[in-house]
Amino acid sequence: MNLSALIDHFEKIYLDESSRNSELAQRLTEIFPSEKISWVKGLPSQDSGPLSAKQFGQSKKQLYVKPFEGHFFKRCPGSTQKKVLTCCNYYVLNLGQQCNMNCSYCYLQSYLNTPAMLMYSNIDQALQELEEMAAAHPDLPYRVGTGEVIDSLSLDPLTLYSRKLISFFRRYPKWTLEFKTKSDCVDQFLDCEHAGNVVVSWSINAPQVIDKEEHGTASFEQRLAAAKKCVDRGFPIAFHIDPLIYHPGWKQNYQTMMTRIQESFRPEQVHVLSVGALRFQPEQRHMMRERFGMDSWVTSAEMFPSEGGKWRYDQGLRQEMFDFIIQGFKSVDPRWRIFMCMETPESWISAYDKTPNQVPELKELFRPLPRVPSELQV
Amino acid sequence: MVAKLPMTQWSSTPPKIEVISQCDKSLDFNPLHPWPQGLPAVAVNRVIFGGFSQNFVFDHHIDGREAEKIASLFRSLYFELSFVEMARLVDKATAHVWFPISLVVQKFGWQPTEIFFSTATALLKTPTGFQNWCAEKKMHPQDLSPLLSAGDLDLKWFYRDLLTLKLSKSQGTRALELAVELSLMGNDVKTLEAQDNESSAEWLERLTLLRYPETSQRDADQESWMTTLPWPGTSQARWTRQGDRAGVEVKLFVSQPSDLKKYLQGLSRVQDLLEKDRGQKH
Repeated sequence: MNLSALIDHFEKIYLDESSRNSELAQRLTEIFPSEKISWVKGLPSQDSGPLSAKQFGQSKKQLYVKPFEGHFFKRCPGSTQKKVLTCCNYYVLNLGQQCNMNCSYCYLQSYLNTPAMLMYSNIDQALQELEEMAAAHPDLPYRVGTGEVIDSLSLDPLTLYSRKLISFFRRYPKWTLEFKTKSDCVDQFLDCEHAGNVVVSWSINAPQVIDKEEHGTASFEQRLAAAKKCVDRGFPIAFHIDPLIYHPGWKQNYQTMMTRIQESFRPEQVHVLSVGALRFQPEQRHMMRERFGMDSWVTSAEMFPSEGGKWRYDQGLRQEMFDFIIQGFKSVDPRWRIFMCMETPESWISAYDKTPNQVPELKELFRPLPRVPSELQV
Repeated sequence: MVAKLPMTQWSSTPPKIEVISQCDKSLDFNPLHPWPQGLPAVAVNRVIFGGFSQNFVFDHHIDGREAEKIASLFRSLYFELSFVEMARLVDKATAHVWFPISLVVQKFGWQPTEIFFSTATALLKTPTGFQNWCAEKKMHPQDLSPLLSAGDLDLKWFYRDLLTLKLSKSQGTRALELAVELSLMGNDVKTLEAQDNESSAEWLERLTLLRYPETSQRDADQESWMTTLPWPGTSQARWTRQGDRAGVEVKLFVSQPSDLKKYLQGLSRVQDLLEKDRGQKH
């Protein structure tokens, strides 16, 4: 979505009084028509408890700006399931919550209970936290992403946070910043000087899956075009083929996706590829069904309870899909770096005959790192 | 001399004894448990809260703005209320703006969220027989989540079969979800409703096969192939599914160490065949 589309998309902007002097609040008052803006002390009428399907949909159209209270910087939640999953030591920096786009499988449907999209106004505090960690461990290869509970870039034309982050990470070239997005919103930071350590990544899927299940996102070709712009400016890029969704003709459709990626980029231009299969918390299926019906390839999927509690495809089917994708890249060029996200050691052994810290090109990603302050506090 | 009734914790004036015909019974949500026969009904501002069939009523006067007192009084009258009863109460309470329904819902341990109220509304659109089954089985709002997707689906066949086959709570919860999903996926009712002489377990299994056709076929194919393998003599091998994993469960009976050695040799041959098959698939 470009800026004017974002202005049309949001029905209401709530600016918390405590953010009145923030750059973000001031910028939004300049961008949005005044009738959409309200200054508030807390969100009006917030029930506790899970959101209904209607409330969840409505929450994407309301933006609430406030300071974040807590630690911005923490480990990716996959790491909390170390007994069942093999995780890559990714860290997350949450600059907001919710997403203005509408993917049928989105795990935010089982995660969020705030009736508006949140954007945090105190980015300087986030940078301060990063500063403290980076100063303590400047030479360790921390990878920090901003796209865990919000799309990293879909609102960036409003916030311009990318520019501050890119500037910060210039000072710590051994650290990596990752933007993860389903948008094509890159123009607002392409002119920034960077240290080659800012990875712009796209969640990507077969074009047919994007059209059917990823509502309001950039098309497959739009994402590739945005990626090319980033490569031309020297930014490393990455693709997260996640979630793999089983559907009629899946092999042909995913082959098309792989061929287009391979035609568009060389392996050395793509920092990493990750692949994950559809998975969700069991209670999420009710909201997905209510919001998207049973025509969706996601709601009609044949899913089962797995170790760790999430519902997943049959293990054998997952393996077949992973093997197809991994071989689809490796057989063309073994230099493609590809790993599985939030999968079990058994999946790794089946795909690679090894665990990830035994795979040379992936070893660095899975290297244990010192814990950050938020992990050390009880 | 007539004994003066004491003041209560809810009202600043003692309750009055009235004949029930003077009072409004429109909050009657059809409670499941009978009111104690020896006690009069209880009302607030002449609206009956409990004891709808009694002849006399204690009527408390409480300012309609005193939501906490009203809710506390109501809570004190019922040890517990099922979700079905709460749903009916929510429906009846719409005629009484002063009745603090959200507070009452909370006092009975439920969260008065939009999902709660939507599920209550959806439940009240189902037949009374199904509602009574839900009350008997102590169904929670989460168990009834599929109703929120059902919209205008005609599920009479399902409610009929559920009651006829006397499904348990877990069976009924699973069957409801399967029925809603399969109906939304366009399956003909004739293929979904219980067949003659079909048990509840058989019906549920058939609905599951309909919902998971590809996995069921893969499992069936694997099971056929598995039976051709040379499992050791008296071992019992069966194909089974545990969540997202399907595989073989092998039972061995060992009465002496040499039995174990024979089994291991036999299983080693099966292992070779399994690895060869896996290699071919890759």
